[in-house]
Amino acid sequence: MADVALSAEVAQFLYGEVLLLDERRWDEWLALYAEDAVFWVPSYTMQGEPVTDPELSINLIYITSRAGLEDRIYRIRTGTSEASVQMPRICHQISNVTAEAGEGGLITVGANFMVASWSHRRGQEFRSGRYEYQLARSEKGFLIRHKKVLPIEEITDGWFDVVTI
Amino acid sequence: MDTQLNDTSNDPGDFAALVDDRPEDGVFQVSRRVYNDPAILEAEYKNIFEANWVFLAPEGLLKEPGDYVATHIGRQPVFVIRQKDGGIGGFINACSHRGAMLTACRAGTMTEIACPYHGWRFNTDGQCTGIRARRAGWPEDDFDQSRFDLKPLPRLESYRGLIFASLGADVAPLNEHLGPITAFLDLFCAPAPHELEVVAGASIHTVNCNWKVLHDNGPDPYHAATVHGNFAATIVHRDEISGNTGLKKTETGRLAGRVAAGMYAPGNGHTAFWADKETPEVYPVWAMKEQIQKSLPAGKAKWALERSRHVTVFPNLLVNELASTYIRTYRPLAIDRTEISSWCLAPVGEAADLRAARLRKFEDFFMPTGMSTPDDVAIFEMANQGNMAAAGHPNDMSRGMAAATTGPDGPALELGIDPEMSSDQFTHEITLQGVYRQWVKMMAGGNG
Repeated sequence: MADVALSAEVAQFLYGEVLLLDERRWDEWLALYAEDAVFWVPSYTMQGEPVTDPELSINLIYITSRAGLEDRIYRIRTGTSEASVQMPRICHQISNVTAEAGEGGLITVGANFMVASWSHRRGQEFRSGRYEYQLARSEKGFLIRHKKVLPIEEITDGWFDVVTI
Repeated sequence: MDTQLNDTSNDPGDFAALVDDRPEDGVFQVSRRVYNDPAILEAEYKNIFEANWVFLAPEGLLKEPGDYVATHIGRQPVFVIRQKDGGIGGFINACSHRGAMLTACRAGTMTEIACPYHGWRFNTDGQCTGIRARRAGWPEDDFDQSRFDLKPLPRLESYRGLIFASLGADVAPLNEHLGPITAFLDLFCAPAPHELEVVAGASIHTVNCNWKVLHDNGPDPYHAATVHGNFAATIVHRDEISGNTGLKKTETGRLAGRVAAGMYAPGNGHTAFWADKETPEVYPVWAMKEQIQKSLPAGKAKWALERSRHVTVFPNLLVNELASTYIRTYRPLAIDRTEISSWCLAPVGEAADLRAARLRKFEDFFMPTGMSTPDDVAIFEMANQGNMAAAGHPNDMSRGMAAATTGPDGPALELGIDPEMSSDQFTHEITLQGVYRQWVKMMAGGNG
């Protein structure tokens, strides 16, 4: 059973996280992640199942440290990544948030997401799927230890990055 | 320089007029019509994709009897399946009755193939084994069920675990079609004998560009310094702040143009280019150094261990050997839309740390959500838009035309290949010249 009060508290945190993405406040966004945070977007197998072992599979994204997320921001900021010179305007919707406290103070979170995206280059795009988090409490609030993003589509049209999904 | 392209010709079948190939004048230009005219795509389906060898899938996806991959040859749905005797069958993916596709999945397992429309059944050899209400349909004494066997693909062969097929029956053996590119495909399997497996997961993505915009990019190392400079800068920055060494280090010498490199037009429209590795010891293949040096002549061992290799097989396969082995195939969905499928091949039984290093670098570079491929895709879409500009220049692919060597150069001799053209410059375009010579030949109805 999800903890209703905890779910409401976590939902506020998730709304805050995706607002930072929508407003491109990437340094503040990075600060929500633990130094050894994992950011995982599985790929789908040819049979249409998401891969289960990120270490030994091909993933759309598998980053195992905040430094790896910082690389993504560094690249965007070089100004020479053609895919990133006009970042799309994006708008996240989050729903169906559930949270449960588990062992070691870790909180397991599930939520559905939809990202609407618009750019001159590719027009209107929609991506949707499931977020799963492991959160820890710190003195500054929640800290993201693990975030898994599972888009519903098996075929990626165009591209996306850690800050646009 | 005056172009001699006749791309406003009223003769839609005059494909040779779309490529201005004059080595004596140092001219190689391609009309933008080849990228933007739907009539050209129709002719390509007929004369290229549905006439000659095309790549379908890696054999490693077909492990057990009944495992299949459903894909397309040009416009036509097909599937390949592992048969009971261990062989591989390839069939048109349409019921012999009223044409419904037999599977709508991309891959799966079917030890018996059942048509979802009227329930007709087939075995993995394509034989029709059951027809619902057969006796009510035809006189029993005048019925040969074998006429409803699935239509096999006229030609189906594998090379080094890569499955190719042709809808045209009258084509050269695969080995002959692949020609000098086989030497490169052999290196992916060094040291022999060792097996490669397909790593779990795949990358399938769609791009708003003509298939040739994508195909032109594979043999084009010239773009790397511009398009992937940000990737190199990001990696250098990461390695500086993290002090990454060994397997975790990613090499950027190739992207920065600091190393010896070269390219080939091996013939039949295939291409290859290579670059020396600055730090070969950071590549997972280095762990097999002793075996490779024992099993291959010195020249080939050097190729296997110390050079990155990038190959395209006309018209729809790309194989890149960097830290990982990347294979990509693509098919036109429309004049301006292409679907790309890619996989990672890796040695069976590889140690976990080597495997992880291989896969993380693969994801960094090759995924549509990584740090390089999105830039390629963005550029493909811009090139495709620009290629709508029929009023602009034709596309120029003449770089290196005069400077290139006819026949093999030194590294080619080490590998034992005899390409039509060789160049020691990473920024040349002799690869693309080879591609479009083949394109003209095949569009004119030649089998290459």
